[in-house]
Order: sequence, then C-alpha cells, then structure tokens
Amino acid sequence: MPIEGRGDDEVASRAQFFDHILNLMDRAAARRGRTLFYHTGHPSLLAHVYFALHDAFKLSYVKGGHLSDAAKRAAASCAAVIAVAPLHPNPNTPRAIDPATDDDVDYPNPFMAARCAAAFLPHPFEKKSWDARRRDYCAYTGFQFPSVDPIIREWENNGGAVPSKWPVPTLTGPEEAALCLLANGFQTAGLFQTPQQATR
Amino acid sequence: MPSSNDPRLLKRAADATDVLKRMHAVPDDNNDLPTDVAQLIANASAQDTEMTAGEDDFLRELDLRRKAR
Repeated sequence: MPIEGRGDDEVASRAQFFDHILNLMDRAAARRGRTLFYHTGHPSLLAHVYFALHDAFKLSYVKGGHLSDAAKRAAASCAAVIAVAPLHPNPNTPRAIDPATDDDVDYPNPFMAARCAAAFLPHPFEKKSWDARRRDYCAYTGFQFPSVDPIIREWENNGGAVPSKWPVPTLTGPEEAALCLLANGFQTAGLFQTPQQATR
Repeated sequence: MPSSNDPRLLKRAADATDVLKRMHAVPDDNNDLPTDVAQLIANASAQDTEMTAGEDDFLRELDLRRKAR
C-alpha cells in the first residue's frame, strides 16, 4: 500500500526509476568484475521510502497545494537510497571484508544515491574533486532516517512487500537538517559549469 | 550589542524546535510541475557513461591512496 495521499500508480512509476538506476549500477559493477545483488522488492521499497521522506519534507517546506522542486526531489531520492541501502555483495559467499583490498565494497550505495540525485539536477557530480566526492559519500553513508525504519522493517518481515498504508512520517530534527543540506548541495552543484580541480 | 556577564546569557538563546516551528510558518515558494519519471530515466541513462567513468576514477584513486598509506 502506498503512503497516505499517494496512489499505487505513483509508487509503481517511481519504482521503475529506481529499478533503472539499480540496473545501471549492476552493469557498471559488472564492468569492474563485480556482481551486485538486490532484492526484487527493492525498487518498490525505495519508492515507498521516497514518498514518505519527500512528503514529510514537503509538509514543512512547501505551501499547501504546491508541488516541490527538483532540489527537494533529488534530496529525497538520495535519502531513500541511504535509508534502504539496497546494494549488497553476494549473499551466498559472505566474506571477511579486508579494508586494504576491498576497494569498492562500501561505495555502491552512495554511488547510487548520487546517481539518483543527478537525474533530477544534471550536474558534473562525477567531476567534483576526489576529496569532495569522498566527503559526499561519507555524509550519505552517515545520514540516518529513522522515521522510515518502520516501513523498511515491515518490508523485511513481509518478504519484500509493504502491505500497510503508512501515514506521512514526522521528520526528526537531524533528518530535516540532512534533507535541507542535501537539497542545497545538489542545487549548488547544478550551477557548476566547469569541473573542479581533479586533484584537489 | 553590549556584552555582559549576566548568567541568563549562559543558556542557549532558544530551543531549536520552537525556532524551527516559527521558521516553517514561511515556506518555500516553489510550485514545480509533477516529476516526469520517463524523463528522469532518460536523464539517468544519458549520464551513465560519465557517472560510471567518474566512479571508476574514484575507485582507482581510492586504491592508490590505500596502497600509499
């Protein structure tokens, strides 16, 4: 069931977007000789979480009856990926992670979060300096969105489905602050006309 | 503004929850068109080559920095 105020068709349509990004991530990893795994229900969960975070953010920041903008939508999409973290290594071959050699085990989900945001506000995200990108990926990994945890728990406990109709959650202060900073960061990056210094 | 050793000034000036409640009373002024999901998908596809190359570069540099530690 969708978030209150949303229709099944909206969730299904948004799930197609997340499914597309998951497939792009999968192909990119395959070219690096890696295989990523995600649940078939992840695109739908990402859509549920997107609308929960987006609509909660909108309640405080947009006039009643108005629609949000690309920066807020980019922020909520990025946050949905952060909250769900759908991309896994092979669950059949669990391994001890060696931080000296597993060069990409921690990055697929923040990479995906960046891609989801960039689809709303095309910008040369990939041309940011290495340090700036690492800080972005660290921030994405560190943000927490506990207001959507009940939706995610329900999805986990129901084999990858969200049977309940959830109300729009109330964001915590840190969640609201994270979404504000994400939206502003993406909006500012959208103004970039030239890449930053590659080696800075 | 004068400074003072008034102990009341040792406290935080305001509770963030109350302040935010007042700030929220004046919302953003946007009212964009609904999201075009087909366009989003097209944007993501158009960016794929460049984003993948950027991720590859990032991971290469990560590997170099780890080895150099």
